[in-house]
Amino acid sequence: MMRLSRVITVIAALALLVGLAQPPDAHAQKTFKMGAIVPVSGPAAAFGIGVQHGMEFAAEDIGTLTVGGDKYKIEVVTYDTAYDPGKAVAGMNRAVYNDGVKYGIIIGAGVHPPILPIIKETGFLDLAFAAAGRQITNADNPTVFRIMASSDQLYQTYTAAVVEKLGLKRVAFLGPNDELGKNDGRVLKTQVEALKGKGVSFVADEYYERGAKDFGPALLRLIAHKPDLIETDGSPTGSIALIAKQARELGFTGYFLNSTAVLEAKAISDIAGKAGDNIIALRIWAKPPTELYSQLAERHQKKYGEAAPGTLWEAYAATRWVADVIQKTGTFDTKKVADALGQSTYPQHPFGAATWGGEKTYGAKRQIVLPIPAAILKDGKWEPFDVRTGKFD
Amino acid sequence: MEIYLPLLAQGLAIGLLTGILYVLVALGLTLIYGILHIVNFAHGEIYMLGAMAVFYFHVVGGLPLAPTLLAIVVLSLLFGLAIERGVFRSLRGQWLQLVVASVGISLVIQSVGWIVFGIQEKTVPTYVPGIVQLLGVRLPRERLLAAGVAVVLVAGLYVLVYRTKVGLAMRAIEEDEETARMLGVNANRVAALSVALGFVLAAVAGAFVAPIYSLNPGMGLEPILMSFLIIIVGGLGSITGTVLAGLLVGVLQSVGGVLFGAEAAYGLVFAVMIAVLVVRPAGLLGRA
Repeated sequence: MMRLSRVITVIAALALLVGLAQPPDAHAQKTFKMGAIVPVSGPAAAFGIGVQHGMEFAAEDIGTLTVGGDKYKIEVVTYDTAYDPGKAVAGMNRAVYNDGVKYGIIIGAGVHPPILPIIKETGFLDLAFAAAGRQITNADNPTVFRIMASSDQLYQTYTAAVVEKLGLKRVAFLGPNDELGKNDGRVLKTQVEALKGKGVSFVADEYYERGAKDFGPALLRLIAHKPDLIETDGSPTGSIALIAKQARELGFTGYFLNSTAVLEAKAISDIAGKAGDNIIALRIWAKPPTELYSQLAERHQKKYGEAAPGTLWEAYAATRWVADVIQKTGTFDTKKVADALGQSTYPQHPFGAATWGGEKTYGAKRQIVLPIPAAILKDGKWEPFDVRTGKFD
Repeated sequence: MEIYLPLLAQGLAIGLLTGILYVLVALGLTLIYGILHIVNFAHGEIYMLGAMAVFYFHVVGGLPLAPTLLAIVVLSLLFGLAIERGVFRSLRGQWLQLVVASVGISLVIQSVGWIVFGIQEKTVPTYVPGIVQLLGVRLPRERLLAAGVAVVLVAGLYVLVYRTKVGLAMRAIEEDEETARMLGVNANRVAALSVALGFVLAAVAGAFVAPIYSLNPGMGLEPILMSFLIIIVGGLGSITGTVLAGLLVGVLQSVGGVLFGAEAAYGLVFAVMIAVLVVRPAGLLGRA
């Protein structure tokens, strides 16, 4: 027993010595924590992993952040929400109240409503990865910035263009029965109804439980209205692929439009095979738009041995952008940083130069405005889908 | 929306094919409960392991489908025997402890599954591509295959339980284990066989459902919940009751979905199931 305690004492003493022997600079460097409040398990895990990896790459590239004369190393802390509002609230509470995290990326329009009060109360600077919901970005939430194209933005700029390019007349909607799906169904309906004069009509909308794997009944109801395009909203790739597969099994031969999710071509192809053809996806680059985009893709492939998830680039850019602004303003005060961030632009975004807009739609300049691509799936590969898009204010 | 006959016929066909998938998954659960009165919460995870085995042996490893299925049968049989011998046997008759043990096994398998198989969804290419058109109703071949397997397994299980000596021993144990033992039935051996067969049925179900959906380590949760509903409504331990309840749930979900929408159909299924249990508390074909 004595011998064991001696060994422990020696080890503790050595550990102390090793700790004290570090150069003074290592002790001077503090940590700035950024939260990735995202799903890294469950069907939406690929979205969360993309954000996590994007933030980690950004933290590596930033290296040291200098604020008020002190040096900070960025640490990305992940809180798994599994895309579940209850778990998101728990993760948010842990991040804010236990770990002192004041900045982060939060995924999901479906998980945002219950955490918005925490954001308001604490001034947490939320880089929201959530397409839907005017309740997320608005004048009442000055510290919430949407870092991806919103449903309003996508439908406003793309609906008419896609419908006209393909000569479509009947549009239907199939989405999850949560905040995202209900909002997107409404927004799409409004946009399509505005095209009534051109003979285009919104024929039906159906909703399903997230995580569902059988879409047969909902698809049957939609297909009965003879749509020539079904908008499949923001579900994970696996769900979209199953929808495409089952719709083709039921005889649907039209197009699918996926506006808000980031789809993986290989996964769709594996699940749906040829049934995945003619899925049009917004926010997918068939050809790399910038050198940085390609570099990040290659870096991810090299480090993780697999293609970068579609959320990686926007998360990378948002982390770097907010770090730049913190450094320039010289404070971690989220309200001051939010004011400065809202006035800033970011030319180095992997998609192309980015700025903030959406004042007319949301009443606040908190919506990212950046080039939005479109692609169409053919034989398991994305091909460019060129349309002249409309304007978003 | 105009509801017309072909739409309802297609809805009915989808419902029957979905229902038979539910039956396929619930069969092993009803066998283990019927003979040993063990509520096996790990059933969904065995189903998941069956599906994952197809992915790793057949898709990744390139093993042809027949040997893959054989390997799944052998491995699940051995796993079932091991779980019965190592866990269930010493707890037999202790209902609460068995529940805790099977929930524990379920959680352990799922946790290890997330670590070993990862979080990315996996897919298995279809075994039989294409559609069969029958009187204007479109039937995917892969679902027809799974339905055929379910029919064969139901028939096989029925013959085993009601037409063989082993089945007689199983029913004797279910009726009165002590008396069965006195009459020379080796209860431990029969129990081990029942659990092992239950595991095989779950794993085979996973293997045939694998190409229809995508796979992840949590995929067993929804089918297990639906299976519990089905075996309770069908009558605990009744094979025929399980078949009836499975088909009923599938048809209600699908035709209800066509008529009232997918969201309303979910509520409809549970409303009808509650009504069935109020009228027949022991389930459709269960004994009071």
